[in-house]
Amino acid sequence: MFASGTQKNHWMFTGPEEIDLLRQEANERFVNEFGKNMDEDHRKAHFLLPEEEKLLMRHFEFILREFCKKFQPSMPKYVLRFYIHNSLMDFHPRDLMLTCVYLACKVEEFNVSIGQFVGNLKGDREKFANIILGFELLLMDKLHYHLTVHNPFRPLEGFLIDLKTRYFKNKAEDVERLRRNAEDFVDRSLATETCLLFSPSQIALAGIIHSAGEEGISLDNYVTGVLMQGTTNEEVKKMASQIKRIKYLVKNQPSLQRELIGPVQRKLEPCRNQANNPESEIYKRRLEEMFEEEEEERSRKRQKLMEEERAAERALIGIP
Amino acid sequence: MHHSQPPTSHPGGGPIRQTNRHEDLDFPFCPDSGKYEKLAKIGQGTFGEVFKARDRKTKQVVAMKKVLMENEKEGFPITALREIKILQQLKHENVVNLIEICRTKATPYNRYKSTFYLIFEFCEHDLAGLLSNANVMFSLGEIKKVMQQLLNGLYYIHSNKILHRDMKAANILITKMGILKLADFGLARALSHISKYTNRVVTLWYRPPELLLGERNYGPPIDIWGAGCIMAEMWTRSPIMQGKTEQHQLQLISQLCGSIKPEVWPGCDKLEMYNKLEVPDGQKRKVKERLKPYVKDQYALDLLDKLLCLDPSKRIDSDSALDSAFFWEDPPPQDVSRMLAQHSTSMFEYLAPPRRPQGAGRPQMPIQVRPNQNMDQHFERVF
Repeated sequence: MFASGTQKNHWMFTGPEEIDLLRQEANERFVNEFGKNMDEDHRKAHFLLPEEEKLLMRHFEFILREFCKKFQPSMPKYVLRFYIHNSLMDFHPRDLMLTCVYLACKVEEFNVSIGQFVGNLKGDREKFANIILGFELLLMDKLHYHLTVHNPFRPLEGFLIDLKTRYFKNKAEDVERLRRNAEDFVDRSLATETCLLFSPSQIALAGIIHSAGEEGISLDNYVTGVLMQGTTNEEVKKMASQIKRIKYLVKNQPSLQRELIGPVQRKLEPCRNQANNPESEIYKRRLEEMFEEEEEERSRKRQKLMEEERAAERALIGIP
Repeated sequence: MHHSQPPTSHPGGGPIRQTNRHEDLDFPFCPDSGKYEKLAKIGQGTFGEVFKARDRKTKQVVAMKKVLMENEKEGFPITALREIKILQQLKHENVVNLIEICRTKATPYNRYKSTFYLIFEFCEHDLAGLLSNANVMFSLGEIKKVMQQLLNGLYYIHSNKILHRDMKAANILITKMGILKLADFGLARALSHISKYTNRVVTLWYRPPELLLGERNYGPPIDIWGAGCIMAEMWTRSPIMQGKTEQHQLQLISQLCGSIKPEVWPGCDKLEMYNKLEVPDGQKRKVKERLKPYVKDQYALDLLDKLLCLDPSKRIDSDSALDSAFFWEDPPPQDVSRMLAQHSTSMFEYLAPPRRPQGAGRPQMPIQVRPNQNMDQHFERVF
C-alpha cells in the first residue's frame, strides 16, 4: 500500500537539497511578508535564517522523539512534513509538536482523550488543550489530509522473517541477533530526513545490512541472490547505492550544538507571527471576533426566520 | 466570516510549493469562491449530511459529505479521521472513491465553526432507494450481479483488514452504469491486535447475533451477516428483520435462524449479554423455509442460509461465497445498467417514501459519536 499511497506520491523528495530548498522557500515567503519595510541587514538581524530554523527544528524534533518514546516509538512524524512548507516563525514548533502527537495518537488508534493527553504534560493543561485543538485542523489542512505515514519498523520485521525462512534456515537465533542493532539503526534514522527521501523498506534493509556488518555477517548473497533474484545488474547497483546513501545519512548526523539553541529561541520570540501565537493579544482578539461573528450570524438567521413567519402569517390572513 | 459560503479546497496534487501567497488569501465577501456548488441534499450519513454538488469549474458532479465539528470536545472526530484514512487506502471499483477533502479556510481561530466536506464521486442510486421503488425490478441475473459486486467489495476491504461495521441497503450505492460501491465508512475501522471494539455498531436491523450478545472481539463475519440481510432484501424489498429493540431483534433472528444455543454455536453462552437478554428457546431454523416464498432460486437459498449463520466462526466468508453455485449456475450475473437506464431519476433512501410494510418504527441508527458529558465514556464507545 506504500506503493500507491500518499507518502510515496507526495512526501518523498529527491535529496536533502530539495528539502533544504523547500524550507528556504518557506523562510523567504515569511521574511518577504513580515519584513516588507526592512532592509537586508535589518531582516537578517530580526528574522531566523534558514540554518537557524533548521537547528531549532532539530532541537524540537529531539524533544518530540523523547516525548514519544514514552508511549509509542513508531508515531507518525507529521512535524517533519509540516515544516517543509511552513516557517518556524509562522507557527511555533512547541505548539505544533503537541498537536502533531495528539493527531498521530488518534490516527494510530492510540486512544487517549484530550483530557488524558494533556494530563501527561506539566504546566497549564487547559492552555495546552486549547492550543492543540486550535491548531489541529490547520495541521491537517497543511498536511493535505495525508495522514498515513509508513514507518520502517514493519518492513524490518518482514526482513527478519524473510531471512529466517529463506536464507538462514534453522538458524533463527542468528537472525534474532541482528534485531537490536537494526532497530537501533531505524530508530536513529527517524532523527534524520531519511524518511522523506527513502522508502521505509529501503531504510529497514539498510538497518539489517548495517547490523549484519556489526556482527561480521555478510548479507551480500542474500540481497543479490535471494531478495533481488532475477533483477538486472543495473538495479542491484542502484539498490546498493541507495543503501549506502541511507547508511551515510544515518551515521553522519552532525551533533546538535546545544549552546546555539538558546539564542535562536530568543530570536524567534520577537519575529514570530503573532497572529498564530495563542498568547498574543491579536490572537485572542481574533478568536473573540470569531465568536462574535458567530453570534451575529445566529441573530441574522433568527431575524430571517421571524420575517418568514410573519410573511406566512400575513399570507394566511390575506394581507399582501 | 465564512459561514454559509461553500468551502475552498486544495487543488490536490503534491506538496504544494506555496510560491504564490495569493492562494492563502481569503475572500470572505465572495460567496462564489467555493469550488463546489450544492445541488440537493441526498442523505444523512453517520456523522453529517450528504449533498449532491457540482464542481463549478469542471462541472463534475460529486457527493459532499459534511463533517460536523460543532462541540467536538476532542477536536476533529476520530470517526471522520478513520474514514479519511481508510478511504485513502482503499482503491477498488466496488468501494466509493474519495476525491478530496474540503473545508472552510483553516485558521487556529475557527475550529468551532469549521465545516469539513469529504468529496466523493457521485453515484446515482442507493440500494435502499432502488428497492423502495416498485418500478425497479431486478431479475435473478441482476441480483447475482449486485451480490457479486457487494461480496467483491467486502472481499477487498476485509483482505485489507478493514471492517465496514455499518452494512445496510442505504450504504450500498449503485451508479447508473450499474457499478456497486460500498459507502459510508463512518463507522469502519482497521482490525488491529487490540481486540476490544465497541459492539454498539451496525444499524439494528442488520446487526448480527454476536454483536447483540455483546461480543467485542468480532471480525469480518459481522459484515457478512449484513450482506445476508441485504441479499434477502433483494427479493423481499424491505429489511427482513425490523426489530424495535435489541431484545426484539434477537427474537426476530431466533425466529428465522433458530434458537441461539451452545449446540449450534459453541461458546455463545459465554458472551456478556447471553444471560442478560432473553434468548428465545425451542425455535427451529427456518431460513430457507421462510424465504422460499420470495426467493425461488435454490442456489440463492443455499447461499442465504450460509450468510445468515448464527455462529460467526462458521459463517461463510466473502471468498467462499463468491465461489458458491449461486454465481456460477444459470442464469449468469447480469449487468444492471440496462435496467437502470429505464429510470432517469436518482433513487436514494433519503428521498424515497418510507418503506415499512411491517409497520416497525424507524431503524435504530448505530450509536453515533457525539460529544458526551463524560469524555472517557465517549472514548470507550468510539473503540
